[in-house]
Amino acid sequence: MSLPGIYNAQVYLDFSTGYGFPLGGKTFYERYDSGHESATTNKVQSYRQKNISYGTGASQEITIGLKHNDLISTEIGLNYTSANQRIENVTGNYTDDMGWTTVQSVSDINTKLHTRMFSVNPGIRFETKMGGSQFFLKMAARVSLLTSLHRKYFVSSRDTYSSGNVYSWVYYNDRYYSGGMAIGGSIALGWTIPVSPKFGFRFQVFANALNWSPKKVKLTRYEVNGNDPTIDKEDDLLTTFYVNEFTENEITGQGAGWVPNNDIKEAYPFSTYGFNIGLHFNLGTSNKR
Amino acid sequence: MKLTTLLTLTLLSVQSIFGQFYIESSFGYAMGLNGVEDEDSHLNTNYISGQNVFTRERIKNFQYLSAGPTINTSIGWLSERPLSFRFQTSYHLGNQGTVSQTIHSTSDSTIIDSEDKQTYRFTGFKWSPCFTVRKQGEKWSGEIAVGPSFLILGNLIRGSQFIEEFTDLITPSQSGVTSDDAYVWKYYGGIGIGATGSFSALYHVNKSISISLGLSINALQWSPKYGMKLSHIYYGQDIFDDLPTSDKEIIFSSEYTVDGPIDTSEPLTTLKVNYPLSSIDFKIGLRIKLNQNQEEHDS
Repeated sequence: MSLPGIYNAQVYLDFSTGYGFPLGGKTFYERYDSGHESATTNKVQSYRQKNISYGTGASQEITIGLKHNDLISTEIGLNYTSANQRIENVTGNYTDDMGWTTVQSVSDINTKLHTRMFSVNPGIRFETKMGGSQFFLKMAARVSLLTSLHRKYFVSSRDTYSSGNVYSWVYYNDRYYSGGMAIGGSIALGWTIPVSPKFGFRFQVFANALNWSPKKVKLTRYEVNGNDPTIDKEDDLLTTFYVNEFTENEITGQGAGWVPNNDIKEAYPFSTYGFNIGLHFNLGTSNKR
Repeated sequence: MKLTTLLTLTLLSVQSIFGQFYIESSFGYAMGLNGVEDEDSHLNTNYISGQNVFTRERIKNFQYLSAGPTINTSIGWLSERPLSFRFQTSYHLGNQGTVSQTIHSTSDSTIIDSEDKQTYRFTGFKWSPCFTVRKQGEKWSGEIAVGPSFLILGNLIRGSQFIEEFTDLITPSQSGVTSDDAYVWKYYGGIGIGATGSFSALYHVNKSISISLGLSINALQWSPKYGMKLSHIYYGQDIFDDLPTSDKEIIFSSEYTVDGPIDTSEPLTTLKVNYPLSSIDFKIGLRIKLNQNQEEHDS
């Protein structure tokens, strides 16, 4: 490991686990319907804001670093973040009195989001002693190499009429977003508490600024009351590619010049703040002279 | 004269208690890391002699509200250890962003042209109290700073204009403007909370003055608390004064309940919207130490 510029650098290895909370994110609206709708009364609609940062969730990280002197280290981390979130788009249970009949409406429209991200984080760490422990500040780039989002959209609706008739339907629309690279940054401040010269505990609080634009999305399920018309379709017909710009055109009677499988890029915010706890191992000097 | 003396004495007192101070002024440019999703589109349709030719161009046009020039001022305290503290204020001057959707539609007898245009301009102050750790050298020093950041006095001006013109090729007298509506909203209030980290390289010109080059990462978002319509021009007429309050004022809330018709004499309550303001900033400036009597004891 006698590379130029890292002579006598101490090598260290960190294993850490933590949790990220949303820092901003995309705004979604949740609605709950209740009460009694009639000619003289309105049903009650309660709205609630929900911010979704797709990076919200648990993360694990392995970091290998070179401590060049008492103050400065350079390092590279491999991070895996996984998150499960849910949006209650519209839920409710209300009565609709239309005069000639009364309908009891029960609805549940929700979206489940499952995200996974592998990222590489090259960074620089400045540290200083505070009593028996080390206080450090860290700044790193964050480059995601493998990111995916599985979005599951579900609708369940049931209307019961006063005559006893029941109309219900269930709808699934699942999409798998993948591809594309996200580049952002990460900052942290923390403490290293040494237990021995070779081993210690690390605690840090961090914030990430990261945005992901997937390259493509594939429809994985489209089901209405048990029927899935997409089940025999080829992948190409179910996949949409995201691009910065495109032109679609159509001339009636001359076949389709329409481009059904392109769409403009979307952005998925992954910014979070949170904490990490971990183990710190000093592995010795990179080049003993 | 008395004020100058008072300021000097105050500064000397503070320095004698806390140690060495510096001020730093810099100019910078912020590149948006995330933006409001939007797109330009240009639709052309020709329905001539029974044949419909349709072309639509779509172009990604995210609005990076945090992008643009910045003016930064820092007051920092240098302790005897590498660990220090600084308080930075940045003013984001903002850029004007424009998003446009156009339609040009022709047939044997008519031409319709329309444009829906939105403009965005964001300005605001960002305060960042940061811990700093530095590596002091004779000619060059390096410094890393990490801390929370707060957006205050955020101000988003959002304009919207829709205009549509109709041309009758058979009866030209029936041609004219069929829609003309322009209004401007201002969104403000609320504090944005995030975090910032920066790396600075300092070139020491002499003991007092250093040139500073900095790179920052900012994770920040903002939800304005209020909306206020600034103007509304409809077919060339100013209709602002005739609008009900609910069409001129908005209160943004995390949650609310609707139980009956909207009271138009009150501001409209609606759900908060998050505006992404994360950015990567570059800056160049000057750092001036205010007290050279105290020797540095950096590592």
